[in-house]
Amino acid sequence: MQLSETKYRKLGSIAAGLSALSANLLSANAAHAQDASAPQNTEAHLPGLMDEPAPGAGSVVLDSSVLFYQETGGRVQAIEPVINGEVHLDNGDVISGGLTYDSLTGATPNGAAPSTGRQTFSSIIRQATSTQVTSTSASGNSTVTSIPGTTTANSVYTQPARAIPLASFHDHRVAANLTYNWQADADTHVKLGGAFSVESDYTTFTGTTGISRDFNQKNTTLSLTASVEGDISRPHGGTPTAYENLNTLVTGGNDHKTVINVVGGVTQTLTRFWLTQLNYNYSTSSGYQADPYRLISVVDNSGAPLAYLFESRPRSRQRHSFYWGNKLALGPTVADVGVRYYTDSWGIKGITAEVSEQVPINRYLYVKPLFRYYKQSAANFYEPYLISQSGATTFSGLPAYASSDARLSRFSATTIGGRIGWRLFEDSELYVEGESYRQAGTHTIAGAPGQLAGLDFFSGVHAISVMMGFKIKM
Amino acid sequence: MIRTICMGAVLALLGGCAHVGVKPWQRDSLARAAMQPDNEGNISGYHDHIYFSKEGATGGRSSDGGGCGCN
Amino acid sequence: MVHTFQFTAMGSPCEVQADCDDPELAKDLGALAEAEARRIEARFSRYRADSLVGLINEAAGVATRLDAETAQLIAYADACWRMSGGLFDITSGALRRAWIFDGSDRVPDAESVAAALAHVGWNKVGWDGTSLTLAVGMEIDLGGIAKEYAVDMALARLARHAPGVPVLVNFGGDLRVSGPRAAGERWRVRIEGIDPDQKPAWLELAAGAITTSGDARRYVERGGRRYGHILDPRTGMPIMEAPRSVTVAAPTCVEAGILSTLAMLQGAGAEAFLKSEGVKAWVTR
Repeated sequence: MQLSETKYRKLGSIAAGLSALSANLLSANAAHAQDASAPQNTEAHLPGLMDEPAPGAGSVVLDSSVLFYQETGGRVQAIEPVINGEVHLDNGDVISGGLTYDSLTGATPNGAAPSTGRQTFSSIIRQATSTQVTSTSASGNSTVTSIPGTTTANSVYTQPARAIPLASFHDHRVAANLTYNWQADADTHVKLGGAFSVESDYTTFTGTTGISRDFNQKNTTLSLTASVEGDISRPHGGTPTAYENLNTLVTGGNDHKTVINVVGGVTQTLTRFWLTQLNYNYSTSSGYQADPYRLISVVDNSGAPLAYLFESRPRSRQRHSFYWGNKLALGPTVADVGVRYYTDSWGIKGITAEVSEQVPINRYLYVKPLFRYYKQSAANFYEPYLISQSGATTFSGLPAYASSDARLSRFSATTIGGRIGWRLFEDSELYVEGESYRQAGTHTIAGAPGQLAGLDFFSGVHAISVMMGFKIKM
Repeated sequence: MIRTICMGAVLALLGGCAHVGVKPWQRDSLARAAMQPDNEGNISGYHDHIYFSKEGATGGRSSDGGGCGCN
Repeated sequence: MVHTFQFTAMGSPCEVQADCDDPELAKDLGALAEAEARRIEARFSRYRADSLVGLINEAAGVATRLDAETAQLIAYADACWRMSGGLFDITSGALRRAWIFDGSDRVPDAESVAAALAHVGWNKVGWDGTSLTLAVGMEIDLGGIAKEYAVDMALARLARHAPGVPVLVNFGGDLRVSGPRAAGERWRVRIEGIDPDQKPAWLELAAGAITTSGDARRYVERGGRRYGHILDPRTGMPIMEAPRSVTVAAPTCVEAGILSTLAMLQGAGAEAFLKSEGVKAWVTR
């Protein structure tokens, strides 16, 4: 079907004549004159894919998608299918829920510093039987050898020289969430929801509640959400104590932490084409915050590794996050511009700036390029390694906390990507998004002792993500 | 403390702008799905997951809980 | 919440949508619109011998004095005939004696067309502003404006009965809205598909009227050529290269109706006509 649309211009003579004639005809015949204030104009619009209204009462939306995530250099690779649904009831309530499955493989830095020679990481783990078994454990590339006469075994892997040491892994995760959103009255919504996430060594439960209220003819919306999250860390070898040596049997079991999260926000319509939102997010976390597998190297004055200790992190963390976002309808396009300022009690400060623009190509297709920039400072206990002056096997004078986790280091990251959305048929959208995420930071450490000078400590990632999905409204 | 005061001031200022906004019949553009604040769907979940596991900062945009032990 | 009231009138499916919280009010509005549709159908339907138009057509050479409303409609049709250079002609119904559009391949010969054409032509009608005289064998057909007029009149009646309630009145695809919906959203209406396999499209409307002229259902197909049912009253022949459909948006339904008919009558020049007139329209071919 070839569809051509004529654009509105000044009325020609026939149309103008008809306009006057018609007004005459109708006012003469209506028993009373037409309401003079009624707008005598026409506003008709053939909507395209981007003009779809937000789902309203009586609609059901299903969105199913899959993410393919790949970091370069043999690092993490993930596949994550997700399905989310929303049922909008006639009374204004909304039930929403979703399921996620996640499969991760690959390798991730184990926290140790690189060295000019090969490094061997040997840990002692519990074993069910005492017979000699050599197998590959959850850390994919390690060799497990029983220690005869004990119920323990050595789990050993080596890493090449001059490279960031990596530990391989594979894991599966299943997560689900369900939320009920009540329309308490015309301007008020209350929500209650729960979620859980389970993987082989970690379980999370979350409960959320929130309220939002519209003011000022729905131009202003205030919202408050609070959630409580309980995380149980169940690492494969048990939970190490802070600074425990890799080469000792870990006797700790599971550990846990509790997170309380509060978000308060205001959304304001500024003009017909500009919506703005301000959010403040406060989070407090208490309990086990460390990564149970992550090491930190203790090196001597020449930079040679003396020991690998499990990292040490505080048992509490408070975070503050300020977000300012905008949606702007610029002609037929919609621009999304947001900034976030983050600070926490570990000394990390981060800023984020994101911009994306959704551009219709025709009634069935849009493109949405996006750009994101992120920069953070290091946590105040971030150390790429620890230096022991004494060179002994027991260490005194270690700082209270130390971690070499790249997530706590100083770095910046940029994301460049874009999405294409295609309306296959009415009320549906097929979408594909591709993104390149690249972290940048210092590579060599100034003043690094001995052999560590000039080694590349940078363990940031470059990851490509491809997301594809299908959304349908019924 | 200072930050809390500033945030409160901004919120009060915005709340006080009772004349800022549009009339109900002018909401046509704002009613579009493309103009809703949290309309990224599944993709926002993917972004949250990726940035949570690779970066130190979290939160801000929306109130979602439910992290994972991803490293 | 939008309540829909449906009925059949003027040979078409009709509906009234009202955006209000009271379903009883919506029903009342629907019933009022239906009453108006029936009133106009009773007066102006060509298919009813007891309607006013039926009486005029039976008068055969005798002058019929018209009431105020009918006189207004005839005056309107007269003005449209003059403005369109004879393309819009309410006496053109007589041509159906030669053309039968039933999907078959019967195309009338030149004599049949000429014979029918002899009874067509507004210039042959006696019209002095109050009385109408038709020669024997001629007939008038207000089908080209009655439905659109009914939509406008029904909407005016609903606006008097319940001012401020957003309503949409749709008589067989000719529709008009009172304004945007209660919370400012646009109304969404379907433009009918042309052929069963072509996809219909949603149109968003916040003010004004929409009418669609098309030849989807009535045509003669012969020798691979589709003879649409819109006939040129000056020649008695179907308009060649007429669009499959023309959908026009205009402030009132009658205007939209005339404009979509005139556009169809332009044949290949439909888009150019609409563009030069500054009319918002969608043309499919």
